[in-house]
Amino acid sequence: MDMLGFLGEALSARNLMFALLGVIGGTVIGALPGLSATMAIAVMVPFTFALEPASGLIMLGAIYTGAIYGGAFAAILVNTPGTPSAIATTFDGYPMARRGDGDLAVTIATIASVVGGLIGGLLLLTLSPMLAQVALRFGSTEYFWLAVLGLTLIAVLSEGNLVKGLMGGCLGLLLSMVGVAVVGGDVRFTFGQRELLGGIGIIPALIGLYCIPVLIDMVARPGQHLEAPPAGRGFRLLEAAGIAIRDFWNLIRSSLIGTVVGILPGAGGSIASLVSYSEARRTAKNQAEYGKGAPGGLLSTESANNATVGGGFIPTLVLGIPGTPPDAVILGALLVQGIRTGPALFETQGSIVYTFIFGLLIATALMLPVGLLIGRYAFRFIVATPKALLVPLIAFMTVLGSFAVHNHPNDVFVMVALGVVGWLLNRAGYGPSPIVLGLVLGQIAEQGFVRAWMIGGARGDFVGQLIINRPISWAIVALILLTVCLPLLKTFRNRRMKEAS
Amino acid sequence: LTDRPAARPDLPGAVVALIFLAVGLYAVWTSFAMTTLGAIFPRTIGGALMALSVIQIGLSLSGRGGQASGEGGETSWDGLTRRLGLAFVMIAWAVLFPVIGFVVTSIVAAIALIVLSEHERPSLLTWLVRIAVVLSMVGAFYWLMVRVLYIPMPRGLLF
Repeated sequence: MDMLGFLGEALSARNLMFALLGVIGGTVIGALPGLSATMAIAVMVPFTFALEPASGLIMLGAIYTGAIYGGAFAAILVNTPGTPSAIATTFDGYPMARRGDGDLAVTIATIASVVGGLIGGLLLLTLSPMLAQVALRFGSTEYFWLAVLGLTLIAVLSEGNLVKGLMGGCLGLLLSMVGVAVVGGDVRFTFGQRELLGGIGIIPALIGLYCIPVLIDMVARPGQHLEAPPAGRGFRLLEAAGIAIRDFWNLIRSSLIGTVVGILPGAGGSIASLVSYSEARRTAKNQAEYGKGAPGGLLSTESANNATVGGGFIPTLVLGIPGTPPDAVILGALLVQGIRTGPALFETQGSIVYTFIFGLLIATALMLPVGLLIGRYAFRFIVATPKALLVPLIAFMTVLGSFAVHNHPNDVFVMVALGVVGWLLNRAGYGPSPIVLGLVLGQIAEQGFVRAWMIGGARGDFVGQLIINRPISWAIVALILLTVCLPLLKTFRNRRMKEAS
Repeated sequence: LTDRPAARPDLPGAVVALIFLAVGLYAVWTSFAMTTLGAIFPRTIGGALMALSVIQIGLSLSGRGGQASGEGGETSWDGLTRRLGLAFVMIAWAVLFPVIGFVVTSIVAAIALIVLSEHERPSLLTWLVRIAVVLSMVGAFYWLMVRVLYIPMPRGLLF
C-alpha cells in the first residue's frame, strides 16, 4: 500500500470517529488540572486491545495531542497550567484573559497547537530515522545546558525585580532537591518526613503556586472573574489567524524547537515551551509586552508543546525509547499489539505505523473545530458563572487534581501550602514563575551537571566534557549568552542614547 | 538590576529576603552532611541564595529593591477576612480529608467556599441552587475518579 492508501485508511469513518473521540476526551482531560494525558491513555489502553491496531493507536495519539492542547484552557482562563507543558502559556494567556481577550487567547492557542502538532507530525512522517539520531547525540551535558537555557527565562519573568526573580529561582531549585537524590542517593531537605522522600511533585506545585493565589484574590473581590465579551463577537478566528500569519516565523521556529526538544527523552513539553518562549521574546519587536499579554508568547508556547507530540514519537518508534510518560504507555500498547519498534519498523509494519501517523495528523487537524467549540464554551462558562460557584468548583479541581497525580494526600497538602506561601511571596514582590522554573528544571539541570562531572572526572577532563568537546553544547551556550546579554546590551545602548540626547 | 529608586523602603521584600537567607544557610549547612555528588547543587544554590538575599535586604532597605506587588493589595477588612478564610478552608480540607473522608470534607469545604465567595445577599432559592450545582459536580467528579479512572479516594472515618 502506498502513502495515499495509508491516508485513505486513516480517513475511514471508523478511524475518524476514534480520532474525534480521542481529541474531545483528551482536550477535556488536559483542561482539568492534575488529570494528565498519561492517566487518560493508560485507562484507554485495555480498550484498544479489542480494536484494529491502527485504530487503537490513533485514539491513543489523539488523546495525547488533545490533552497537551487542553492544558491551555486552564492556563488562559484561570492561570493554572492544566499540564506542565502549559506553564509558559500562563505568562501571556492569563493577562490576555484578564484584559477581556480570553476568547482571542483560546483561538490563538488553538491555531498554534494545530500548526505545531501538524509540523511535529509531518516531521515524524518524513524525517523520523534521521531525527532519531539527534536523541542519541544529546548527552547529560546538553540536558544541563538546555535546563540552564530555560532558567534564563527568570531574567525575563522578573522584570524590574531581577534579584527577587533570581532568589525565587534559587528557591525553586532547592525545592527540586527535596527527597532522595537521583545521583548519589542522599536524602535531602525532608525534615525526617517519609512523605517527602519522593520529592515535591511538579503538578501539585504548579497548581498550588498558580491557582491558589488566583482563588485567594477571587474571593476578596465582588464581580465576575473575567469580563464578559461583547455579544456576537464569535470565535475571533480571522483576527487570531491574522496574528498567526503576521508572526509566522515565530510559529514555525517554535514548532521546530518543540519537535527537536520532543525528540529528547525526558525533556518534554515544559522545556520545549519555555525554550521557544525565550526565543520568541528574544527575537520579538515588542519584547516589553511579553509577560503582559503578548499573542506572540502564546503562539510560541502552544505551537512548541504540541509539536513535542510528533517529536516524542520519533525516538519511541525508531529507537524504542519513549520520550515522555504518555509515549511510554503508547509504546506498551504497541508491544501488546505485536508491533516491534526499531529502525526497521517503517518497512516491516509500515501499514500500521503510517496509518497511525496519518491518523495523528488528522486528529491534530480536528483540534481546530473541536478546540474552538470547547474553548468557546469553556470561556463562556468561566465568564458567566458567578464566583460563588466558580471558586468551590476550581478549589475542588485543585484538590482532586493534586491527589490524582500519585493518589497521595500529601500532594494536596503540598499544593495548598505552596499556594499560600506563593501568595504571600507574591505580595512581597516575589512572583511564582521563577520558583516554578527552578522546580521544573532543577532536577534536569542537577542530573545533567552531576553526570557530566562524573564522566568528566573519570576521563580527567571535566571542562571538555562540560563544553569544549560538545559542539551541540556550544550552540546552546551561545543561545544562553544571546538571551542574557542582548537585553543588557540594549539597555546599555538605550541609556547611552538618552544621555547623548 | 532594579526598579528606579523608590522613596520608601520595601519592608515585606526585606523580611522575605531575611527568610530566604535562613533557607540558603540551612541548605549550605545541611549539605556538609551529604556525599560530594549530592552536595554540589545544594551548596552552590544555597550559597547563591544567601548572597542574593543579602543584596536584596540592602536594596529593599534603601528603597531600591522593587516594591511589593500591588495585586490583591486592597486592605479592606472584608477582603482580608475572605482571603484568610479561603486559606483556612483549603488548609483544613487538605489536612482533614484523609482522616474524615473525601466526600464529606469536599461537601463542607464547597459550602464554606460558596459562602466566602458571595458578596451579595442572594435569595434562599439561589443559595439552594448553587449548593445543588456544586454538590452534583462534586458527585460527578468523584464518580469519574472512582468508577472510570479507578483512583482510590480516601474514605476516612465517614465517607
